[in-house]
Amino acid sequence: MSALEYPPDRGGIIADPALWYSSPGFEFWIVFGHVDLMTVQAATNRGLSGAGWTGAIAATASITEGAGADFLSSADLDPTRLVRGSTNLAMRSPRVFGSYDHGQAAARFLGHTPTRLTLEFYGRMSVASANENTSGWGFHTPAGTDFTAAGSAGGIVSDGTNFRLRSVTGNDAGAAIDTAWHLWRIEWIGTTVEWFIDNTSQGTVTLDNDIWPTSLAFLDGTTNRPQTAWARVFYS
Amino acid sequence: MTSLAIQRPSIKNKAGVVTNPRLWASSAGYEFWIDFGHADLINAMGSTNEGLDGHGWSFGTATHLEGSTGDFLSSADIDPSCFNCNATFVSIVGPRIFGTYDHALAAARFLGYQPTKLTVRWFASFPTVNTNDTGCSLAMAGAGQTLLIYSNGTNFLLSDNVPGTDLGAAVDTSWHTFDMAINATNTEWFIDGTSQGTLTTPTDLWPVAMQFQTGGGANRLKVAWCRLVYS
Repeated sequence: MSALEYPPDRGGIIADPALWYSSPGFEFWIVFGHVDLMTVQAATNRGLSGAGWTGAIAATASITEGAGADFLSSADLDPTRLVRGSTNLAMRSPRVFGSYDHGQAAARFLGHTPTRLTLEFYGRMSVASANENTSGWGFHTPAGTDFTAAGSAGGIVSDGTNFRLRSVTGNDAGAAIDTAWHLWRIEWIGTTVEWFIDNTSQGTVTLDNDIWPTSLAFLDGTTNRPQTAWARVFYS
Repeated sequence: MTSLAIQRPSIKNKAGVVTNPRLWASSAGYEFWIDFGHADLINAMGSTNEGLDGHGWSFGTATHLEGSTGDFLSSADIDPSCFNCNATFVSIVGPRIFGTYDHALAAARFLGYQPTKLTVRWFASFPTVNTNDTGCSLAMAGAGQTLLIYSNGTNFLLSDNVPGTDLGAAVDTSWHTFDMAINATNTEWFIDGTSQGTLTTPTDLWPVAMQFQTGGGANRLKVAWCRLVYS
């Protein structure tokens, strides 16, 4: 089944990130469309901080509204997106992904037991000049701040020259860095983690175990600055 | 003429149809709905109410009107529950997310193809139609409207931010479906499915937000529902 095909007549697409921690499914979405997502949950706001996310507060994450793009054009982009302007910030989802039980829940919607977990997101590194394993996108423990540290299942980072997929044991160099928007993808399957930029494979590393389930992590270290328009995590 | 027929994906599970306006800012999809069925939508969010302003929307002194005198499912005698812009400078604005490549790319995950068109439809009426500062629009950053359907007191019009205008049918106070079918080149607009003309689609100002508003003049606006669809 391709990434664009869905099983017929079944639910299982969790479109509300505030339900990731409480609802079963095979696909999980987050769109960074307004700062209210990052405003701490209170009587006057339903922030993600009240729904199992950490770091989803205005002090550590914000939304920049786009304003200057052309209509539906890939040549002139300016998405509304998640940005962070300070150092050593992290935003993480509930720790639910990649475990047998979560896969079995997904199987109730897919009709088969999944063997692959995919993270796909539309993002860029507006600053990518530093060699940093602490800035990027991937799966980690809820406290993880470095994609090479214990508990990391793998994340896309920059070494200042190339983008890389880094994990506790894995280190694979990809395309030369830039600050353009790309469609990124990481696939965990069997013993391998493969990653893609704009649907072009960048290589593989060995999949690490004894760490699952994990959280989707958006990390900002000292210098590099990832920005994200949307992300989805899905089993297949 | 652009077809208003929406090509839906082959799937039948309604994935990608975001029917809860509280999720527009956080959820992916190819179709986005708001139905103005109760005042709680536009009452400020608090401990006893789940207003839209806690979910990426803003509104001022807007009011809601419950319908009461329509005939059963009849188009001849209509009185919908609606968002009621019955004073000057009333508005409601959604999150600014529509019309960018990234948002369409997310929609493509549900459609199975990359969309090239955004269609916006309102069911609305202009109870008074005198001046030119009230209407249904897609709003860009700042105070301007990217695309606005309004009345000049004589005709309905579509305007853009240039500003260019395209003259449509003579005004009335009836309920109509108003559509904009936007592609990268042109924006065609419709009243009750009848094309009113086109304008060149603006550039360098997307994404935009759904907005209904009155200005400082005499025009008033009621909106029962709205949907935006990528195809």
